[in-house]
Amino acid sequence: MTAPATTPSTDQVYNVSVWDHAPAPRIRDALPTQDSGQLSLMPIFTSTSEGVIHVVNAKVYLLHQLADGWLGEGSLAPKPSAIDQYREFLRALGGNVPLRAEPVGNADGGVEIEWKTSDAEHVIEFTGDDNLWLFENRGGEFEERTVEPFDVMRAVEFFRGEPI
Amino acid sequence: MANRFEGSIEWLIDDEDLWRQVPLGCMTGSEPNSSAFNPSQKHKFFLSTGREWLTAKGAYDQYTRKRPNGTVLSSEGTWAIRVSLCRGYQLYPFDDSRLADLDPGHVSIPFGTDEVPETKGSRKTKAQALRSYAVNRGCVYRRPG
Repeated sequence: MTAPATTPSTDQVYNVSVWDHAPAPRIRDALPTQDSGQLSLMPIFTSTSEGVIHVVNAKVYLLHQLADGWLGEGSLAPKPSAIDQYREFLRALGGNVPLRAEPVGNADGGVEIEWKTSDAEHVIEFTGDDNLWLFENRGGEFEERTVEPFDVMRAVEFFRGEPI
Repeated sequence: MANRFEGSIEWLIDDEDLWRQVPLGCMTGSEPNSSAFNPSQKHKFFLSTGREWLTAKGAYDQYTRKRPNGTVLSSEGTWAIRVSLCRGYQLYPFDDSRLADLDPGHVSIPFGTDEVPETKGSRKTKAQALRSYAVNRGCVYRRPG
């Protein structure tokens, strides 16, 4: 029996594997559509723009493919657990993922997002260990905090402008 | 134990450009993220760059060539930082290419020393400063194709 696309199971609601597809040649082809019955895979992302989906999709896929040494001597590939933490963050954003959430890898196997506001630069690092690193740089004066154990809602709050 | 660098390093003049390669995994949009300028703990927090005489294209070619062990590193292109910029942030680049395992023109930039280690936040602040300069200057050699 096939469940209707509009009534996804709990598993489907939390399945974000759609983000991990290889980038398609055309944006439209990379996106799940109602016709293909895949929309139920990502109902919580429905207000995210197609362009952002495509960018994040492609970047997560890329981060999965990296091997140790990708960023020069001693660099580590992004840890699967760091990518998982980033995925959890995407889920916790709850349907509206802005482009500044585009992830990058770092040399220590973490996944980061970095964005600027009018007076500061901000970083969230998903370390892949049971913690989270928050960082804010205001013209060279910086503040940092390691949140342990990992708390995805703390990342979301910081991303939305809460103080470090 | 002898210092690995004793007699093997060359300090650089202030107005020399240094070339940094940036793989796609460190890019957001068409710009490098600061993670591209933040060295790894496993590499003792040494950031690898290339000397100006290599040229921006030459540094790219050197970095992306096939290595003897068969590995090929990828780069979106070359971005430039300056020796004087580094020194302004208490980063002191040196040419260590006379060490046997390093490429010609290789320059290391240590983010802290064993005696004076940097905090993670301090390293990130400096990486953001290098990134900011490099981005303002623009990509000096872009990957072909």
